[in-house]
Amino acid sequence: MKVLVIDDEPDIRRIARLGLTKVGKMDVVEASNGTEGLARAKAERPDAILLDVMMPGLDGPSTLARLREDPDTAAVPVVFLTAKAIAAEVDRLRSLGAAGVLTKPFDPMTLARELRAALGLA
Amino acid sequence: MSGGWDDELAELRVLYLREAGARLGELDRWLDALERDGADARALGELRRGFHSFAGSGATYGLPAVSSLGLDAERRCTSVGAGPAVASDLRAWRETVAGLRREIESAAPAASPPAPSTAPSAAAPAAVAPSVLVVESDSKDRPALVRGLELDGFTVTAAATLAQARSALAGRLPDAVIVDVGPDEASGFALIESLRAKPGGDRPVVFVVSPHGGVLDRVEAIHCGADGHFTRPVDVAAVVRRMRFLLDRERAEAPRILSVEDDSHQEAFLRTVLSSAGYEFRAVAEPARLEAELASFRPDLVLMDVMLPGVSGYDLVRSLRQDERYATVPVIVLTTRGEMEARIQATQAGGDEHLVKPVSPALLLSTVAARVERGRFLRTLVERDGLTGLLTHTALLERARVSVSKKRRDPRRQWTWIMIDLDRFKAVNDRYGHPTGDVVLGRLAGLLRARLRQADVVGRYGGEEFAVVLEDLSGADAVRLLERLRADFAAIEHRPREGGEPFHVTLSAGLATLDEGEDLSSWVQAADRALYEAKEAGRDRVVVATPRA
Repeated sequence: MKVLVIDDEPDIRRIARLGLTKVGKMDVVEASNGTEGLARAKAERPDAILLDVMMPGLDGPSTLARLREDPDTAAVPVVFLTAKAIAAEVDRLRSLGAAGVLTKPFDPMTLARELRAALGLA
Repeated sequence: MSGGWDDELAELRVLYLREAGARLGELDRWLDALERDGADARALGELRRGFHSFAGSGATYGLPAVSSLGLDAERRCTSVGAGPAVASDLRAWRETVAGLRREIESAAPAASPPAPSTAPSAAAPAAVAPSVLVVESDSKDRPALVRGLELDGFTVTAAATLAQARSALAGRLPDAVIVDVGPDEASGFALIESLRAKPGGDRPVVFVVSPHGGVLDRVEAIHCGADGHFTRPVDVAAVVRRMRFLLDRERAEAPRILSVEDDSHQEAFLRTVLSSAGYEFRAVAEPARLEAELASFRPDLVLMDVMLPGVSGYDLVRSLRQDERYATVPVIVLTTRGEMEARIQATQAGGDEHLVKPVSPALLLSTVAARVERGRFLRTLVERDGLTGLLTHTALLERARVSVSKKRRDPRRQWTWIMIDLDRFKAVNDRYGHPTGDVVLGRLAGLLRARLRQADVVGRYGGEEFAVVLEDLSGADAVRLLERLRADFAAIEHRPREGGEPFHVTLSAGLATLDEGEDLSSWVQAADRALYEAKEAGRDRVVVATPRA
């Protein structure tokens, strides 16, 4: 299973990679902003995308909308990563067409399991 | 097992803490901008992003306080909106930044970047036995620990309470400290932190002993500045071995790194980063020359590029692993492919670690340092005698062989073989028992180690027979050194373990300097004959071998 992690913070990408590869035995590709994420999604054809909500430039929701516009990436399930754990925000993000919402800070040990659960694979 | 979860997490955490410092500096600057103009939109935006990022990452890296501080400050940013921010906002944010800084600093390991401290240092003769302070609230482990350390030639001071420990640390710092953190872990850790903050406080080797062996305990111990963590009840031999290794490392020669790399830019990068960190660096561009370089350079670690002309780096690693001489040399495989497949291939071929190019200098250094240290430690386990911690017979002869070949190349240099044997040692064992005999052997080992220089080779040749190879010392100086050693050892009072009168043991020694063109066995035999003469002449003396040929 290949996961594309789109987040502007290298700290988060690094530790997400660690959790997903070591614990989850997943492959990880990374992008540091929305625009790069769109290109990587098209080129890498990941099985899922972990997408940060708050990023400079193209933010998470806009990136999701653009992914849906491209037939190559429209079907890839997207899970949001947000630091806002309030219910209204989670509902709003779900309503945008995300498969799930995970909150930051996350536990690197359980990230892969939560991602699988959000994707309905667990 | 390559790159375990704990190792990687700890590594990422160090990186995170290091970068966090710089990010706090940026927050200070945005706050300065807001002091000038409370409605500076860019500053408000960046400040919010900065706090947001701490909120989202802190707990992930095991620092929940960082997350909650970040979250509160971010909330204030949200409510301030487009501003202007007023004095009370700025004050609150400043306090948050100060709080974050405290959290980050207290979590950061006291030592600066790992490893480079292993840079070459002058091998000064150590005149005194290394000192250890044992801080122990629970005294159950103490007798065994103290005995094990003394047996290995350490001078041990014990402190029963943290207050005693603090006053012991007020004077000259010991070479090593072992802290049993007991039930009051926080103050044990605080003691270590205060030690590390003292001038020269980064030098002592510090071990923590705690009742639990969890990953977090270990991480906690290391982040407060400890060099190692052991779980109660302690494995005394393991503690002593590790301590000896870390103390010796200080005086050891610079680790050698061999890079197999055909890209000259990449080679230049590796050379710059590793050389400036104190490593000895050599590169091979042609795989065909690898064998020769391994034999002559004897690297502590190999950096292997995967894309090489005509051959895959994986195949080279595989062939290297089949040669038992190099089976323990750590190998780091460098690839440009960051995929899982590359990682699996590297592991299957026998690589210990896998790094994806471009590699950041910090990651390269921390990975190399960790691997070199582990490799050297493993080698000491194989080459060292279990009781005395000195070189084994085989390892000793291996080193001596190197001296013989150096002498061929440069006849002006001098080496002296010394054969030392305890006098009437069988009687000691018969009368006081083997455990007491072992203590006597340990004392001699400790004395030898303390008196000789790092470049000198000390080994246990047989039962109660020890051998030393001295480098670059004239025959007369060698005799003087040995005479003093003989007298000092004879003066040591040994106490029988079962109680009773203290006793003394003497030693006899034979000494032979290596002649030009002489081979190893002739040299060793000459020293052995001299030792025999010393015994014949009545023991407790040093005899110099007669010239050969």
